[in-house]
Amino acid sequence: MRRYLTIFVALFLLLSPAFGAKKKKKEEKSQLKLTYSGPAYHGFSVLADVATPIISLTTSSYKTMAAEGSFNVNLYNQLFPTIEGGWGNVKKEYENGATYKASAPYFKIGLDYSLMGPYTKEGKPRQCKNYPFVGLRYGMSFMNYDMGNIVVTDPYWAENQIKTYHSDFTYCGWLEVVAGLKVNIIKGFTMGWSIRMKTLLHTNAPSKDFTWYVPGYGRSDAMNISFNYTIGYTFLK
Amino acid sequence: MKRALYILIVLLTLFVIESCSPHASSCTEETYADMTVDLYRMEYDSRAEEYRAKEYSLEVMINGVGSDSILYDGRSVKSLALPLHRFSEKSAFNFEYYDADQNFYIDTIFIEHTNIEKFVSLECGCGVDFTINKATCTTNGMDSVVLKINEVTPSQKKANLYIYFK
Repeated sequence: MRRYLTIFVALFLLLSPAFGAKKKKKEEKSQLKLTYSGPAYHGFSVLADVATPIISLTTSSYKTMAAEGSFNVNLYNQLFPTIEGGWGNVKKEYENGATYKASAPYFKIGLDYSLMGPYTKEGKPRQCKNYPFVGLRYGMSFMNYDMGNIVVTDPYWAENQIKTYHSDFTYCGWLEVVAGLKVNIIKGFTMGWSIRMKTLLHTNAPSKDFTWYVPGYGRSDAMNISFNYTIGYTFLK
Repeated sequence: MKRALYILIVLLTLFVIESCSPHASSCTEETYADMTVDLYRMEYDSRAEEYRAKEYSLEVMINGVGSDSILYDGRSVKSLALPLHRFSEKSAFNFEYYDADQNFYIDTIFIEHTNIEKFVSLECGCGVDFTINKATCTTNGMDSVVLKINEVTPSQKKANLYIYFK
């Protein structure tokens, strides 16, 4: 876990052009911000995540399928309110015969913050097309799950019973910290990647043990780290 | 402004990592709960001129009524762990033992309990906690049985029952 933290923090530092910036420049920029009277809206992007479906096929201990897309709006060339949506399912069979199946749509809402800033070094406003960013997401999944072949053993009295559990509408909410990069390839076509650290916040299931795998989040018994690689189109204003 | 943002994100990341709590305990610890029983004998205290309960070591053979498996094979014990029936709300255990005067006795304790099924995890399956409603015994060599703590759960470590011998 510490290795992930080190990589994550190092990533922030590498992507950050602002560390070590001089106070004078900051003051100049803040003055420019105060005087800037341009429009807030600068366009929007529609993106599809191509990494999630590929990664989901590579998991060996359980079978998952997932698809995800996102929509964001460029405000002030620095803030990017984002909505993401997707669908995922999972199947798992344990050595003891227990099975777990779940499928669900999921949605995320949040904000990305461009580390490049909306101004050039000369202090002129610029169109934010290529930028490293950090952000936060609140995600929610509304899942159906089936757990079958759950064994209740009574070793002394030598009896066993098999149980099943089913739920049609269980929600789980989680928080994601996002860091990544977006690049304009050509004429509005955009590619980018992001690393996400996720932690489960709440669920209406009796316990997290009932939601072993949450579509959009991953395994519920620990914090998750995921990778997204997006392609899409940016519609500039 | 940006520095504050970086610090906030790093702190948030640390918080997230800190809040992560993997499952550490084993299936047995989470699912299995045995009723615990302490053994006592009433002995006359001549100084205080009254009977007082004292811990009692007993060489006892115990098996569940309806089961052939022996739980205790005659070794000396002061405290017992007895598995209640998970699919029935009545359990009974036979005690075969010699008292201090080498008299042989057979007694049976009867437990009425409510079973509370709980899902533990996919790896461990389900466990059962119990609430003991009533405990009685035959009185050949036993004097009485006293219910001390109703709940039988993996986290509850104190004795549920005291058995007093004559």
